[in-house]
Amino acid sequence: MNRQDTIAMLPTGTGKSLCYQYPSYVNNERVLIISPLLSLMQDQVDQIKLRGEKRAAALNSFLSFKEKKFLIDRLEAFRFIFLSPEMLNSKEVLHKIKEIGIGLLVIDEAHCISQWGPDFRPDYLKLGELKRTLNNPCTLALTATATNEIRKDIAERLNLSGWKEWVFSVNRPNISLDVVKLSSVEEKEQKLLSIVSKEPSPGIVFFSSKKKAEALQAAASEQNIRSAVYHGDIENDQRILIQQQFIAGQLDWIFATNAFGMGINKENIRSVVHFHMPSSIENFLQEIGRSGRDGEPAQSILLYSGNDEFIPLQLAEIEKPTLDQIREFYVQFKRGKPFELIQQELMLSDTQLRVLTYYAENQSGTEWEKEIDRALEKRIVSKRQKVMEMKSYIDTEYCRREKLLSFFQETLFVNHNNCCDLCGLTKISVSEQSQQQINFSWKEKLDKLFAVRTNDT
Amino acid sequence: MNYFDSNALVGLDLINGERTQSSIYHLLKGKKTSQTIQDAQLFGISPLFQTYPSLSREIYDHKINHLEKSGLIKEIEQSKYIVTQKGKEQLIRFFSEKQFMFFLNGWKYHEITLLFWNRLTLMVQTTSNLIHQEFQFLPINRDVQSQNWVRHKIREYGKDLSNYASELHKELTNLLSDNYPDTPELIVQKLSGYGMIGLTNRQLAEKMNCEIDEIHMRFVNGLHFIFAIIEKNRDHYPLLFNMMELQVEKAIPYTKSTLETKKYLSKNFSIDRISAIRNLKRSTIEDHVLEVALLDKNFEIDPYVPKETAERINAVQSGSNRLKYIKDAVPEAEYFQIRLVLAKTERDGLAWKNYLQKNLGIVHSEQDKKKLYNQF
Repeated sequence: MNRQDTIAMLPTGTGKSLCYQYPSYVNNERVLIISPLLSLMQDQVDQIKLRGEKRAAALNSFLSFKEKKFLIDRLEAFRFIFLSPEMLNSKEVLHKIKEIGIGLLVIDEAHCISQWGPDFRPDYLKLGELKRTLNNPCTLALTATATNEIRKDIAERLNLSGWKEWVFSVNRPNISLDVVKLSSVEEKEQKLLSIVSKEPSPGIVFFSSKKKAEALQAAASEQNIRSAVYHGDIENDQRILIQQQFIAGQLDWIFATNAFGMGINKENIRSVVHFHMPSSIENFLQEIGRSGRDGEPAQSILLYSGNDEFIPLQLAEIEKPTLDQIREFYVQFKRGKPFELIQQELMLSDTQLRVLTYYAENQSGTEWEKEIDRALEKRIVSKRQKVMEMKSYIDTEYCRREKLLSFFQETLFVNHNNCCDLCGLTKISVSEQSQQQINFSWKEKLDKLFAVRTNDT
Repeated sequence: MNYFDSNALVGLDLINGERTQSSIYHLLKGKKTSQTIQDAQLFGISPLFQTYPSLSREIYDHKINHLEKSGLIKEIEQSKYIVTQKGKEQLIRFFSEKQFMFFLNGWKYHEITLLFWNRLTLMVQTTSNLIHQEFQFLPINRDVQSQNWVRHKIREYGKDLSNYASELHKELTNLLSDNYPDTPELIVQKLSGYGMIGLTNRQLAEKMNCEIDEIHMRFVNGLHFIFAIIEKNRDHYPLLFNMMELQVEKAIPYTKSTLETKKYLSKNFSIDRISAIRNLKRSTIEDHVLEVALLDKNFEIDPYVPKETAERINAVQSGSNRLKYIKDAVPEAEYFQIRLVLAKTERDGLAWKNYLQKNLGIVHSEQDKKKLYNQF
């Protein structure tokens, strides 16, 4: 509020968005929020609008050309403008933003700027320049999880001047921590099905594979568990339905990939289950942080069966393009071939294309491909390390909470009574919820929707 | 086999190896090029236009591959396929258990299908919440234009909103009651409103014990059915008809060259003369004329085809659209003339509607049709 550059590390679910909404009203200024997650961005806009503030808009690649144009033309009418980082490549957008002026620049998920973090987004490196272009507006970098060195990296790359740091504990005392080790995948599946029928809901089960999520949701559905699958392949309008059913209490369990739930405002999630282990402690904390936002007891259950770490380790390997791909990319890039064609021909993933494009635009030299290969190799090493940190959480023989906090140089001061399976857990008790039945026929449903009294005889 | 497969098979059967399999992809996806549009009309497959707008090329190719591997289609020339006997038998089996999508009319309704649905869902959600005194809710659809449309309408009705709500309720109930050919659950259970969020396609599929793809097709078929009813009875369904109206009547998307030719056509220049003036081949100008005939409802073909010839072509074509077949029956007609007549008369998708009977010999009575639908 007193116009000082700030890095704030707030655990998920502690009202990050207030940090920029409140100052905007006090200082009466326009806020530009850079956010890397498209679905999350739209959710945030919806939340702001729900509050009655209509001057919020999101500019991202979800929009059609026409919709984009429509918004850009009216951009000065908005107080809260959300922007995805790749939109910064549009001269038109940049020009317009400069023209209308920005009072506060907010970088959400700021750890994406750090090359040492697992979620590195090359487009984020342009943010330092953006800050200059916009005449150095006051900047707020938000992140839920970042180690000391990543925070320093953020400050440096954003050219923060005399910045302040607000670091809150990553500890969420109302979430109990449980790890269940099982001897086979089949056993793990059985365990999951028993969890979703017994443990308190609403809950989310996280998977790293869409197929597994679908298969187990189908199995749960056969046991009459009110559940749905949610992942990136599901069309946008269908995803909105699932989110809203979950918020409205029509569903008890969501079987999801990590695409789910960051932006939804549901305070009473009681359980977060991991069917596959997350690829880093940071991701783990973000995901379990979606539970217990109301402050009531909630739980994290991580299921582990032998060698589960191979999945995230392999994903990290696959994400790196081969030396041949890197070399060929550079050749074609220099010839000016369109990116879509290069991507198709070399079969690059979106992330691979993003990273290579960034390096190609910002670095050159005769040994380019070897340098880039080395740089990417380093990234794998750091990702591998992240996976092994996660594994050490699973394998710890002392307190899991202490272990988690130790990654952020925090120590546990207070003893918890419902801490983790190693310290001893008691079942969290939750008042039984009434299961809302909504099996109306189409006529009854139309009557209900429009509040028409039924005249059944 | 599912609906997607059956649609691809029927499409391939109707083009009968005269076009590559890509033409079906562009058709389902709804690509607006004059080639796709002409093919759609020429072979009577325009009802399938844009029935799978988010279809990816990879998935489509994969499915075609699978059809070939299963021996349902056969490649007769580089990427040109015909449906095999086995393919036809499977289609017969499929449609003896499943409803044929008689009411599909993709070409006619592709521009309003999604638009109407976005407006309807948002309108129902909004009025339902407002009449329950709930003023805060998350929109179920993120289409900005439709949101604005609804906002505008709500302002327009203002205090009369409860009146609007009961009228909309009445229109929907009437529309879905009488002759609606499928179970109305497929439409109504997808709607959201106060205290209830609509079901996803997957959830409907689970309830009805069928594939998601079938839910999608039956939904689109149902929408196209109600579009036709609403259009015919706009006095009975003023609110729903209002949702079908495009805000701006779109200019017909001619290609540049066709537009140039069209200028001369409107001055009654002959094809040969235009060809000479523009220094283009006669066949190119003919393509332009065809494009105009397909897109402009008011375009008269009489100057290019003698009435008698047109009548003879119409008499032959019933059901079959194959050019060569017609040419053999009406040898005096030029190919260009045949295509022109077909373009003019196939707007209703007659080949599609008659496909089952003509090509597979299946006849469903109206009773059978109703029975084919699973009950919700």
